[in-house]
Amino acid sequence: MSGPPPAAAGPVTAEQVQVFEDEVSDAIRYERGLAIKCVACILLVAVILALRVYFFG
Amino acid sequence: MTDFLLAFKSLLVAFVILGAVPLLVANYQFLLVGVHFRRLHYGKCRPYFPRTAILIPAWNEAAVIGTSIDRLMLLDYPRERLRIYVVDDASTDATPDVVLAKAAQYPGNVMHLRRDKGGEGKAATLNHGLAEILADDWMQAILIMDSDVIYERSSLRRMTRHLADPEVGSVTAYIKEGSRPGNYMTRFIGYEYITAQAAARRSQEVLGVIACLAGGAQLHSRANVEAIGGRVDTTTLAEDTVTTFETQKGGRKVIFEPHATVWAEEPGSIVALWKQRLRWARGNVQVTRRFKSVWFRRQPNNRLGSFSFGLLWFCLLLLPVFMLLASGSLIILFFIDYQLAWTAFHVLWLTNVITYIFITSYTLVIDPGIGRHTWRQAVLFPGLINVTILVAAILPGPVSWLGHELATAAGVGVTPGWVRGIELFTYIWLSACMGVAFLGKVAESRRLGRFLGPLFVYIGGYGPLLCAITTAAYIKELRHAEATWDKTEKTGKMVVPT
Repeated sequence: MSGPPPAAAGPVTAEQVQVFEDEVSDAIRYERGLAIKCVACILLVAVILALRVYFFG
Repeated sequence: MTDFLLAFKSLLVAFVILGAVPLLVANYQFLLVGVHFRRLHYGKCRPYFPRTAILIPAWNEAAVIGTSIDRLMLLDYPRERLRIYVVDDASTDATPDVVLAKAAQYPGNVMHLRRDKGGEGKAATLNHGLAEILADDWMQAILIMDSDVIYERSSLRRMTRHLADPEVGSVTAYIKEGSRPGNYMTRFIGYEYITAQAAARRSQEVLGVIACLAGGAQLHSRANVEAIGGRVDTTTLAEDTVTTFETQKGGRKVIFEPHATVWAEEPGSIVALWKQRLRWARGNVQVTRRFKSVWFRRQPNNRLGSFSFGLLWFCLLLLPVFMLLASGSLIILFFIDYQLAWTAFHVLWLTNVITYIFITSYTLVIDPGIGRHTWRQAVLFPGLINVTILVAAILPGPVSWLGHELATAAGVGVTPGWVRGIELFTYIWLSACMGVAFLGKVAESRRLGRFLGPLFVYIGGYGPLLCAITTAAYIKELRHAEATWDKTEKTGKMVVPT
């Protein structure tokens, strides 16, 4: 669905644009970091299962 | 007869394996968090500061409302584009005085709306404010929040930037538990909120559908509020979920902004948690019924009917049923086919081990700040005995050796009968843990309750406590018990970063 364009919402300063770009950039970096953390946690599960099978079975 | 027995055993095994489904779905949900970066909405955002009305329903909130207003006036947002409307639901404490004092302190920014007849619940209070705000055309966006929540300075502008996309109807933020030092209960909730908000809402966003806008942080465009009728639902106990569904049914997007942080004070006791969550759980049962035409049916302009979303919704809603079925089936199998019971249990528990390690470790690193504060509750979320069973499943050799040593030290010989007894206890515990967690609620208000309440929750588990509450919600709904809006008491004990 595509609605009407949003109403004018006040003038935006160059500083606000810069803050916006910095925050979005930080947010994207954080979200990409979550993907790496996800892989790390999967590896942790794999390591624990391997230890279970080969050493503590 | 043999065929019948075989069929019966197969059915019982199927019920046990069915118990693993919510666990597999939980893993799937957390895996989606890992791909959230591919579904970010920032490409359609820009700095955007609509004239925003902040709507706060308040009933006897004198302890917290002043601080909330002060913090809102510190928001990094053009002040001339902010108006705070406090709808005072016939408070009997000093709420009106506090709000009027703030209206004088922030002229033109803070408005006090008084309802002379109160007690009709949060939704009716919100509708009073919505009618007032929609009566003129100043408002371009509306933020509905709770009187006790505290917004970090950047939160509102991080939310409004999504409304620059005309396809977006609503935006919600990440609510964190803010009681400091807090107690065991607020830390359990703090950890739970990482899973239920930071993780679950990210995964829902990947699926293209959000289950619920946080009641304390829901931003709507004016167009969206008007499209859903200019009022919120008053017929269920989950008006925020109904608003979320109606928004998406109308083809407008709902966005979760995880980097807009809002702090809330959550219940610090089992009784208060029970009251709050029973309302939420009954609300979810009511929403499930109300939107029965949506589930697992393709919708023309939204993803509410997708298979994945339905699976997530029903696995959570029906979790106690899955637990009871698995437990009951294992107990019956134990008596008719001991070895089969043990094998089925192994499959279920292996899934549990994988789920526990993956979700606990991932949750703690999704929000490391809250994770450091709540890691003990994270580890003990399933309860002490369930964690012991999990450890025994991972380290059967060492745990068996330790068990033998302890039994020998206690002068008890470990016989096959003992071993079977422990196995049967394990099967029973799968459902009994809910009952033990419930005992915490019973004990809390009695003698030694301050000690026994937490003890039962730690032994039974916070997760099983939530399942017990969901079970109570089924019972209340089946009995058509009166649906009252019980307010959660707030004391203003939050410590929030500036």
